[in-house]
Amino acid sequence: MSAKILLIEDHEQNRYLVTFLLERHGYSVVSAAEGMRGIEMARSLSPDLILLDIQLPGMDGYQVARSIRELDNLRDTPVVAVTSHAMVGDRERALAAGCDEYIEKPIDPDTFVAQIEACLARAGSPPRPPDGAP
Amino acid sequence: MPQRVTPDLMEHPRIRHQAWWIAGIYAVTATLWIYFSDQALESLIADPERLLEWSVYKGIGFVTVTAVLLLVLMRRAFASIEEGYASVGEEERRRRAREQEAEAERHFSETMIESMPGILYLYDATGRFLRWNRNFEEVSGYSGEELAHMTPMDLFGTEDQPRLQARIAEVFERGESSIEAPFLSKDGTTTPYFFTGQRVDFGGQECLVGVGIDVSKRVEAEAALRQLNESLERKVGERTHELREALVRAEAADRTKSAFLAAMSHELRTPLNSIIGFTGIVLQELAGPLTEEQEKQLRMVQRSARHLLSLINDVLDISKIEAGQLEVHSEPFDLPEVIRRAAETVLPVADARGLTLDLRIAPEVGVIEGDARRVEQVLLNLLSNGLKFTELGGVTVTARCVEECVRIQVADTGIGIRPDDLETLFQPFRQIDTGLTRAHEGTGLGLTICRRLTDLMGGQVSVTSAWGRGSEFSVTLPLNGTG
Repeated sequence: MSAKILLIEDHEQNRYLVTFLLERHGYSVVSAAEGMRGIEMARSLSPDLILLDIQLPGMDGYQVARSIRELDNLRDTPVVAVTSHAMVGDRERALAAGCDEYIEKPIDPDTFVAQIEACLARAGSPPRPPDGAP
Repeated sequence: MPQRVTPDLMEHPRIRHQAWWIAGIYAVTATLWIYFSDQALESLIADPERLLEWSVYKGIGFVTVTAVLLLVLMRRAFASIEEGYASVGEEERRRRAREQEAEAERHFSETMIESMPGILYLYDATGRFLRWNRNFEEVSGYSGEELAHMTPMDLFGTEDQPRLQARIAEVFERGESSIEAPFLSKDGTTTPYFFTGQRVDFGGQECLVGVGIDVSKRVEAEAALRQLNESLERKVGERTHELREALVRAEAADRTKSAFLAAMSHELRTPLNSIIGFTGIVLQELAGPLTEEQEKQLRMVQRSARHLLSLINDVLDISKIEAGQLEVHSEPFDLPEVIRRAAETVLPVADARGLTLDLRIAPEVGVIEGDARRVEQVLLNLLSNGLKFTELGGVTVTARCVEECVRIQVADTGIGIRPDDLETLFQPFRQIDTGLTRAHEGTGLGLTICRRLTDLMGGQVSVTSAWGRGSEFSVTLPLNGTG
């Protein structure tokens, strides 16, 4: 069974990009366009990893991360902040809000998948299926 | 005025008494003499003619004796009178001398009192003025007659009277006091005066003798000084306010700049995310197979997009450094690990270009204090530069401890740098050898950022180079952070 990844991202192109990339690398991806919906899906679907955009409309990524950390079924689920914020302290704020990893946008398909894989491996989630399997 | 003393000896009661006695004794004696001497002559001399003769002799003798006695008495009396007159003259002279002396003393006092620059006055416990100098009249504007019917309180405003009364009471109780108060003259003007009062005994009653000095010049000077002070304070306040406003504006501008930078960063990266992301996906042939030409062209897009990204990152870094917003942490970290990580990152590039990448880390190099991410950024920059400008050979990284610092040298066997270009090497947008720029794409900001970052970490970056033979960049970092 392939790892299930929840993507919380408001930007449609980015959502399509990440979904496409990860699905083509064998992951199962579900996505939400805003924070509240993302939290609901996280609670009901218990994903293996959550990719979280920080700049979201309404509830921002930091708040979403904190809410997710309060959910019993997601206490140990890795949360990776993916953000085009690159100002002083962004990484620290994201980690303080409960994120495990911080990936700066723009993502590079050559390294992005490896980063996700490493994150999942640290959390002890099921590995992705052999490369290239749709 | 002292009582006049007249020595009148003739009226002396004892002497007057003597005169009566002398005259009485003389009358009795003379009467008895005349009677008994006549009887004696009549009994001794029978002849009437001779009796007459002897009577005449007796009479002449009596008159003679009487005349002598009168002479003696009158001499004595006249001598006494003479003496008396003489003593009266002496007394008069002394009296006059004393008067002159007193007059001189009075004149001296008067002159002193009148020539005094201030005002002088004397009043009794009821406040009745007894003495004052002319200045007092001049300053107050009241005539002497008017002043004689006034009390000290008439010369001060009602608001000052209570404290003056308190000080006056103090003089009568303790002997002296002083006060500064506005002196109110007849025409209603006031002049600041300083008064001192002293209790004195005058004509058997307790009085107050006071001196007042015009202190308006001092008060004016003080007021001027105070005004100057206030104006200075006001100016300082205004300047402070202006500075504060300027600071608020500057801070607002700073915040605007920060917000702008954050927005820029986000807005520029968002489209790049699609460009780099989809280019990568297509190049991975996840969306389907590519022709050779398509792949070649897409690699160009990818390279351009990555260049654009590094350009944006460098510009943002420079902006943050310039705005003082780039903070470096000071935490212990494993330097050899950071060096190895940076080397691993650029290893694919070195491999792709057939260049060597050697690491020579001395055993004493271990954990240092600083910002691991920034050190890695500096090393990545230097390593990329070295590989970028080297066609043959490779890049060697050496690290060793030098005194309280660690020195990391990144040496390449590349084209090197002309001595003329070494000076401007660390200035922004100065990628040298423009002819090669297309072949060695970069932002021209990398070395500037390296220098600023090492400065922030309390370190240094320097370069030595031989044109055509290679360059060596040297980064020195303190072992114990920025301190």
